[in-house]
Amino acid sequence: MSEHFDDLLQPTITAPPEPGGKKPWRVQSQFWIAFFGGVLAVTPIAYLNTYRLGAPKRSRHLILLSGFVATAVYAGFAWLWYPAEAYSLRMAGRIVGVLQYFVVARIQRDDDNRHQIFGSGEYASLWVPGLLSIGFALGVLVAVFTVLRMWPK
Amino acid sequence: MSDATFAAALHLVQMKRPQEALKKLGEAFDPEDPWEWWLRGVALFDLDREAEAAEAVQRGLALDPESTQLLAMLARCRLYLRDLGSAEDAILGALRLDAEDADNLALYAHIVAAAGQFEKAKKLLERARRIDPENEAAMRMQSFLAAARGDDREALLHSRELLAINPEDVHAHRVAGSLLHRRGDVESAAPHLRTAVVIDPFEHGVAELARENRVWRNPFMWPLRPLQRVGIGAMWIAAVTIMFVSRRVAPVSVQLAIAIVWVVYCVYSWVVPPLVRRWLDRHAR
Repeated sequence: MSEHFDDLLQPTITAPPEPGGKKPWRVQSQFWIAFFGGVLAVTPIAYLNTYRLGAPKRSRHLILLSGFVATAVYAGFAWLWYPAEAYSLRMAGRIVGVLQYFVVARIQRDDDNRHQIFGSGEYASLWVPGLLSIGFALGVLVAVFTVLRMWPK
Repeated sequence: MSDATFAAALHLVQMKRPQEALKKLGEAFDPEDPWEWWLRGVALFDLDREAEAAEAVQRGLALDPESTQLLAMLARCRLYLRDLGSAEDAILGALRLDAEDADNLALYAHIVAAAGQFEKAKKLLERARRIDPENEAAMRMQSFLAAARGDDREALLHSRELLAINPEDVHAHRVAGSLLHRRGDVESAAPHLRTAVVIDPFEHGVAELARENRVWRNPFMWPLRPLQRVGIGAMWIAAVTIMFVSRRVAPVSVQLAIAIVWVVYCVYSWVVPPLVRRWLDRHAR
C-alpha cells in the first residue's frame, strides 16, 4: 500500500454540509433578482444561500467582496452621471447587477451541483425572499438618491 | 432461517421487491445471524427507511463487528441520513479491514464528495479504478463527480464508458440523458432517458426528466430551444444589449420591431410550454 493511499484513508469530514436542513434557492432564479433589484438585492440572497448550500466560508467572503466591488462600481457611475444621465444610470445599475449575478452564480456553482447530485436536489421557493430583497434594494436606492437630491451642491 | 428462505429473500431484494423480502425474512428471522440483519437493512434501505436500516445493520455489527458488508451498508445508510461524519467512520472501518475493495473506495468517494471534498473523491476513484479498472460503482461515481464539478464532457465520457460495460446501468443513462438534455441536445438525450425509465420506472426524477424531454422535442418548442441551449439569463442579456444598442444606432421603427419580437417571444415562452405539457399529459393517458 502506498503512502499516498494511506493519506487518503484518513478521516477528513468535520461537519455535515447542509446545516439547519433548509433547502437552498435555485441559483438560476437569482438572475431575476439581480435584473430587477441589482447588486444590493442579489448579493444578500446569494450570501444567505451559501449557508443553505453548506458552502465553505471562502464562498461567503468572495460573495461579500464581489458585492462591495460591484456596489463601488455602481457608486462610481452614480457619481459621474447623477442626476444628468438618469436613464444611463438605471441601465448601468441593471448591467452591474446582472454581472454580479454571474459572479455569485459561479461562486455557488460547485456547491449547487453538489446539492443536485449528492444532496436532496430539492429547492425552496425564492418568491417571497426575492421580492423582499428587491424591495429592500430599491428602498435603499430611493433613500440614498433622496439624500443626494437634498444634499447642498 | 433456512438457506432457501434467505436466498428467496435476497432474490426479492435484487428484484427490487423489498417489502416482500421483509415479509419473507419475517417468516423465520434469526436475530443471531448477522447476515439476516444485513439483508433486513438492505430491504429497509430500499424502502427509504434509512434510520431503521441503520439500526438493523448495527444489530448485525454487534454480532460481527468485522463484517465489511455490514460496515459498508451502515456507511450507506448514514450517507443518506446526511450524517456524513458517521458515514466516514463506518466506511473507513470497512476499508481498514480491506483497503483494496474498489466498491468501498467508490462509496467513500461518494461520502467525501457529498461533503464537498471533490479532489479527495477524485483520488479515491482513481485508486479504485487502478485496483479494478472495470468497477462499475467507481465509474458511476466518476461520472457523478465530473457532473458535480461542472465538467459535462468528462461526465458523459464516464457514463458512456460504463454503458459500454453495462448497457442497462440506469444511473449512467440518467447522467448521460440529463447532461445531454441540459446542453440542449434533446434528441440525443431521449433514448437514454427512455431506457432509464424502462429499467427503473419508480425513479421519480428520471421519469420527470423524460417527460420534460418529450415536451422539448415537440415541434412547438423548437423556437424555444435556443433558450435551453444558452440559458434564459444569456438570452435576456442578448435582448437587453440589442435593445440598448438599437436605441443608439437604429431608427424608432427598428427599435419598435425588436421590442415587439422580444415581447412576443417572451409571451410564447411563458404560454406554450405549459400548453404542450398539458397536451402531452392528456395524450399519454
